[in-house]
Amino acid sequence: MATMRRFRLPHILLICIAAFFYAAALFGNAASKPADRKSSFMVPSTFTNTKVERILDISHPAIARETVTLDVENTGKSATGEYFVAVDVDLECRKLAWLEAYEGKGASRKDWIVEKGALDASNSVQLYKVTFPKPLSPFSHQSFTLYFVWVGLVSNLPKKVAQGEQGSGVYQGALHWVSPYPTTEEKLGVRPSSSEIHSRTPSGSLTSTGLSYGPFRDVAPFSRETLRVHAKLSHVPLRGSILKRKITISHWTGIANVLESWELWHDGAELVQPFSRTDLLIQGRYATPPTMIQHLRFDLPAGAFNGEYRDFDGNVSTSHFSSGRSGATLELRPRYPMFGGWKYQFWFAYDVPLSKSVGIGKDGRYVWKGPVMRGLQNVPVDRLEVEVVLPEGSNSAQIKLPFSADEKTSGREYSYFDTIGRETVGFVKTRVVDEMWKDFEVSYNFPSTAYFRKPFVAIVAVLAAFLGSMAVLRLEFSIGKDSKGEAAEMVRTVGMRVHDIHGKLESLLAKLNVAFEDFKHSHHDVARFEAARADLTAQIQSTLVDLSSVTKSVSGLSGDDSARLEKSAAQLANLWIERLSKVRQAQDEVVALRKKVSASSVDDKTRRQVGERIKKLEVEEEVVAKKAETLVAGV
Amino acid sequence: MAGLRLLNLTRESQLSWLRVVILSGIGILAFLSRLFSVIRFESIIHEFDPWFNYRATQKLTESGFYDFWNWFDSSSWYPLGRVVGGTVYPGIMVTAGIIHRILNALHFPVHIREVCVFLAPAFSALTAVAAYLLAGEMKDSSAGLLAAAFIGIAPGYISRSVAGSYDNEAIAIFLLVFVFYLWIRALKLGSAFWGSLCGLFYFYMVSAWGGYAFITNLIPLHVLALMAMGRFSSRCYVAYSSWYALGTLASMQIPFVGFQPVRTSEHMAALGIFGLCQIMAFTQFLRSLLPARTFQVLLQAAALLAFGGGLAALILLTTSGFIAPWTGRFYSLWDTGYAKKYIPIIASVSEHQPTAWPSFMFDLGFLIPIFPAGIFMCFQELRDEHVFVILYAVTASYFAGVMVRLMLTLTPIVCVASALAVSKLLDVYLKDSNANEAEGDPSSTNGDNAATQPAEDDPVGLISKMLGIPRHYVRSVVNTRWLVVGSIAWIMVMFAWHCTWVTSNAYSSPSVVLASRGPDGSQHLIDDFREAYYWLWQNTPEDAKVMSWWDYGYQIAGMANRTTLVDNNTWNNTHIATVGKAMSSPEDKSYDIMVKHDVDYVLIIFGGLIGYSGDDINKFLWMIRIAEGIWPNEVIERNFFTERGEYRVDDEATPTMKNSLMYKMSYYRFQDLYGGQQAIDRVRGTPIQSSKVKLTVVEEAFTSENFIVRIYKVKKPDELGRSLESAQTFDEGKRRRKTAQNKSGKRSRKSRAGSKKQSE
Amino acid sequence: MTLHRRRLPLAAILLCAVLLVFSSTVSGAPAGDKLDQLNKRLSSNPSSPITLSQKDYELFTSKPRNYSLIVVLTAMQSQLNCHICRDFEPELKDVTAAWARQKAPNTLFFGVLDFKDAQATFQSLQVRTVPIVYYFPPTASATGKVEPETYDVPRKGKDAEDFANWVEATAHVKIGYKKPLNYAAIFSALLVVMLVIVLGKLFSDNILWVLQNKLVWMALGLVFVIMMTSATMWNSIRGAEYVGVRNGQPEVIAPGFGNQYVVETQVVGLMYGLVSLSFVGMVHAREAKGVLGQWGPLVLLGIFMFLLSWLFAVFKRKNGGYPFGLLF
Repeated sequence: MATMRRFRLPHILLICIAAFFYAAALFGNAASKPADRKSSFMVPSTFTNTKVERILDISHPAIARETVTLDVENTGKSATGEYFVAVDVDLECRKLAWLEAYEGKGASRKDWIVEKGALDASNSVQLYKVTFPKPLSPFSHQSFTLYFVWVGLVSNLPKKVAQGEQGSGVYQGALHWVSPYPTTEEKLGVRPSSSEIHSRTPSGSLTSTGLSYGPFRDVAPFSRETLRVHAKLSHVPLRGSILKRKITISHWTGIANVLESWELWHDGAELVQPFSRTDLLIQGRYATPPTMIQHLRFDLPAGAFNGEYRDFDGNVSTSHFSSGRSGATLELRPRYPMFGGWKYQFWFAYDVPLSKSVGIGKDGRYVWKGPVMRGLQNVPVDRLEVEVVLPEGSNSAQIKLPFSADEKTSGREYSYFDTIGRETVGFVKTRVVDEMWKDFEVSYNFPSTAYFRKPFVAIVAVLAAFLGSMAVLRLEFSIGKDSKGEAAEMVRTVGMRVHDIHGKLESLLAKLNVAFEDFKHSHHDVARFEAARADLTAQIQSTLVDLSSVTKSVSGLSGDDSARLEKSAAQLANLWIERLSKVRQAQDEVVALRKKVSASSVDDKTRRQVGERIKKLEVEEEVVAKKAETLVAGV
Repeated sequence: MAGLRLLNLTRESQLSWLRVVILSGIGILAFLSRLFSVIRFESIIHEFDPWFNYRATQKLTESGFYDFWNWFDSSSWYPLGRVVGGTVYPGIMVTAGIIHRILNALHFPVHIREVCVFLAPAFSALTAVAAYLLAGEMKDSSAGLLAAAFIGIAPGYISRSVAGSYDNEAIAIFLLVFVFYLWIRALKLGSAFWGSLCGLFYFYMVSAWGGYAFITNLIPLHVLALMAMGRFSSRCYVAYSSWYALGTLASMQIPFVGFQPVRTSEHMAALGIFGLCQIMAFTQFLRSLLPARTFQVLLQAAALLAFGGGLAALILLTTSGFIAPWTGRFYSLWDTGYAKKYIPIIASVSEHQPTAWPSFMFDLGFLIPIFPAGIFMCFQELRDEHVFVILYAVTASYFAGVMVRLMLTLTPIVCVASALAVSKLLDVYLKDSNANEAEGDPSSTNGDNAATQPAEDDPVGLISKMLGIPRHYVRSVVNTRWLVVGSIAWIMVMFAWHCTWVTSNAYSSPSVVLASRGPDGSQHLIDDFREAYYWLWQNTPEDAKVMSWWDYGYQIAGMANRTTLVDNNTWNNTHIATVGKAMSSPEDKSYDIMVKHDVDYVLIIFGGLIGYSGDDINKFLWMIRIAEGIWPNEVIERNFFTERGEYRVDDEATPTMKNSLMYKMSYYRFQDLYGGQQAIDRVRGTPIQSSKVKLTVVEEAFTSENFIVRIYKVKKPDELGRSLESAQTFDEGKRRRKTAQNKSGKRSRKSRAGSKKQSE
Repeated sequence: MTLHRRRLPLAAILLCAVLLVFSSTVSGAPAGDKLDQLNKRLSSNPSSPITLSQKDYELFTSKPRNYSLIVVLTAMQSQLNCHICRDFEPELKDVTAAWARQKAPNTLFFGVLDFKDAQATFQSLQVRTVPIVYYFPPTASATGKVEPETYDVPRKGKDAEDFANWVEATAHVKIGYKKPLNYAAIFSALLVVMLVIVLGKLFSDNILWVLQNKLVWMALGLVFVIMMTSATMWNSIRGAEYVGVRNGQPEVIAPGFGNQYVVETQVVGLMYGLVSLSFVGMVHAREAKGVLGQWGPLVLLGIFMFLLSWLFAVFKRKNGGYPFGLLF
């Protein structure tokens, strides 16, 4: 529900506006006049075009150039220098790229000021005001030239062509030059896209250069008759929808790096059937399809170097960069051959030595001078965005353009080793054509102290790196071998082993006792018992050897606890030997007694004595055992 | 080294200084030796999976961590989509993202791509350091340096860490080695600090690679072995407990892992050992109170009880389904036949094949033959850490034998073990002991009269007697010490050569760009993949769905920025089988599938023109098998084989083969290239079917320069409700009539008339 | 799979033509009495599949059918030595028996058609691999599908479970097959366990000695590692031949990087072992006194270098473009 409410209001507005325009269009002047009387501007009918010669050059489908040579007479009462040029509204807002007025030609050419004037809604034309150098007195004549450059006046017909064939285009426009003033005599010459003309209305007459119409006499103001020329194309219409240029100036490297990212469209007729590589390969042996774009050739300023060519998927290997004395060229091959309606986004960059482009102005400021853009010949650019990144530390940049920009931009950005960042200035211009490839200037202050910023930062960075490595070095020390911790750890390990060995000895002794019990109670076989005992004693001995060997491993270590460990281990060994001997003695007593018994009868006295002795031995053994336990516990 | 006198440092600090220098040198070397592909081609992301990681990293850097964390990628697995945050190991992406952020914060505006490309080499330098530390724990720093040098250039590791192979393994191997180092450290010192550090990095490892399960099982195994050897100690207890508790808790924070550590069999060993540790520790405690004899019984009883109880509980839980049994991928490591029968997708991946012995030599050079020597030495002085090395070696070598891919986990231990061996040898032979220096002259042991009565039974004496040269000359030549050291040095130099050669020849191709040598030896780049992908990106609608075999899913997403049906994250077998079915069915059947899935474009790889062998016709059998696994009655592998059971594409090919969409799309208009004569498929090396291939449900949209990538557009259903086939035949009939009418019929108008049906 | 492929003689084709002519007369008999015949056949021995002849096959598979029939095409003759056929026979019997136990008459029948009885049918069906199972659903089945479905035994598995599952899935019946408990195996297992326990009790000391002996473990570990690194797993997974044969002579080293023989890996493993041995030997020989101390290092170094170079030479032979070598 909420969303609904959010969307409704704009919708209604839009509908209203649309409806209004629709009505205006329907009832034309009648409807709009009362509404616009106040706002609408009527051109004072002070002039008459005594002679108009138009030459319409549509040989390039993407760009149409119109040269109008005028001879005007001031038919008014007073002297005036304001001549108005009318351009159809729809043409003006979408198609007009460039308009200039000048007098004379070649060396004696003098450019005049042309500024955008009011909107004449009643005739739905946008007016441009040409100001003569000096006002024209009544009944006197003035001849001058107007130069229009239009974009995309020619549209594809047919809309689709086969892969192998050339497309055709149709031009539809005004037969008479739209002017707010009456015209006495008018001529029109058309340079069509090729000599193969399918149709033309009105037919006019064919000449060597193309078509020619007129002369027409006494043409009323704002008289609109259509001219339609349908001819085969001789060039492929290309268009850059967006061109972003970024110029990074670095005084340190003495280089200006230029990055140009394009979004290029093939505006030719689309393919009837989808692109077929097979056909391309087969035909390719004879002729490449005329509508196919396989190479783009960019002219770079002289001395350009380090050309690179990429797109979103990385480096495009199929490019050729050649740098000569007069100028460098970059020949790019798109990843895929381009056909009608296809798009290709890519960017390329190159370096230019500053020595060619930067100088010091009168006021001591640095001035960078370079072209607004350098693109492909006869390829209009819908939107040009230029950004100049000034060296770090520079300030108060000003930009001087050869034409009025749509908007000026400025900002700040950071690059390698930057601390305070770099100032950027730039501008945006829509509909840029070859005629506008002029130089522009950026002037800025660059204090010499700024030179030392970079080395300073670099030094600091290196210092930091050194400190870091020193820290690593310290770390290295702490990781180094046989420190106290390892010794202690070694002692601990050995301690554990001593514990284990003690346990093992215990178990062995237990085994021995078991064997002895067997001997005593079940079988009375001395030899067997002796054998078992010998085996076990041997095992115990070897274990004791282990004990000593284990403790040896700590003997090398410094530290008192290691020494203590050694000592106690030795004691433990001795205790065990003692304990073992006690056990043996006790058992020997029994064995001896058993021998006696088997030999002859034994009186109770001896029995008792033996018993007491054994008791004593066992008690002693217990004592020793306790000692050992405590000792081990201490380890 | 003793002669080193700088900044009058103590000898100790000189050595450590030297160590740092050498180690950093090794690190730099390790980094540089991985840049072949960047120098040859460009800094570009390699192969397949890295493209997804790259895309995810871009997402991370562009829209922040939380968006990445719960990112639902609707542009893959159409129409299902994929919950990326929950199905991915985010370690590598986060790492790259952090590095990128730091660099930019320092005003180094590097592109995220550069970070991704150079991440693997950078981390391999760190791996060298980690290997140094690990081997240092095993023996000493000289062994450490050797180990670092080995792992720095060992192809087995380089294969997964060259610049541009931006995959999980890139950082995982460093983490693996470092976690093991930390574990050994913690075990030796018995310090909770190192233990928890180990846990921390274990967490990092878990976040980075599914292979963390190796750690999860190896460390418990180590502890178990120590217990069995009666070496369980308080240190062991502290280390293991701190590692397990912290590491497991932390690892459960990764969504992809979640509760697996307590719910799956892969993690049960660790849990069980944890319990066992507690019991053992308790008995240890009792041991200090009770007299020894009673203790024996108690200990045994307790241990048995614990073991039995734990086992019973485990079995109970598994049967009751609370604990999931081994997942297929892990299970297929034990039962090697398992994957082929039940999970063909796993079996179909080439890096899941078993390893033949040459590839061991290929990846590890002379380290493999002396690897056992290193293990032998570990057995000789059997300290706790050596037990670890042995266990690692045994398990890892088995895994490497089962899967080529797991050569990666074997490499570090091989490097460490052989470093131990080599450094032991060098220790012995570089030792400047006079007794041996005198070349085993027996008399030389008892002092000065060595020269007066030379023995004749030693090599030097013998040779000198034979050749009649004074023995000191001979001694200077036949010097065992220098012979051994020299030949070892030589072998190591050869090893360096070997590694460089292998790296540059086998492991440095991005497989996105192919390099081919012209007849004049000039290098010529074949860039068809990017050509076609970029065309898709630039000249198809934003929301176009592209159907291709899953291998190319990630690349299409990354380089063409379009929605795909299946990709290399093969989580949904059925969906992949669907694509396989569409590819292997006759046109009308696959058209239904494609329409049901809103497929706009179909992308296939075809190498027949220039002989690119990794194309779809060669992968076709897997598509068929996987599809058959789901629809055994609709797709039948046998029907793609001829009577003699051969897999053919020429006239002998079975009708099923010839009618399959894949076959048709691969060879569509292929004969026309050869004019009149027989068209030859350069991969299969056979002529293809002589009759013309007719396509009705799709139309060719784009084909790359060398025909490697072919993209077809799926036609819209016929607006008169006819089947597309009849519609097309009808059109053709009309065209033929048209041509009949005007002999010099304009190609354009004719085709325009034809196109009306298709374009409107 | 290729093992079980049969090329059928030309004669069979002619035979098949002839027989087809005859059989065409039989087919199309009403479903009812076919069912009676089947039951009659079955009554003799309900728990085993019906042995079909050429004619039977033609008869029972002919439409209409008000029963579903499963025919197993096999080749039991010894000269055709189809192992898998013999393996599959008992499994089939078990499944049939299980089905008989279900007591669901007149719905599903199992039949066996041997190659020697009906070569023509095999030919007409273009059977390339045996054993293969055909399922003929009733002509008036719920699914409406009357075309036979196949079960390719070598590929889908010859175990009774797999087969039974397939039958249940396709024929929509309950076979209820359960793997019979293998009492012999269980008993023997128990016996072994007890034996182990007893022995363990008797020789506990010796066993303990073995278990605690470092050498034993060392030997085990080293052998295992060497076996693995010499790619034994590849042999077992890929089922490599023990030794290759090249124009008559036995071949030890398989050509090609990705290929190997069992004996080859054994030789390589041995080499690994010897290289390591000589390496370790070098380490210890240095400390040794007397003759060993004098000659040991040199000799062992010689062996070491030789074997290593040999290994690399073999490696080079297998890996075409490999440029390096040690001694040769």
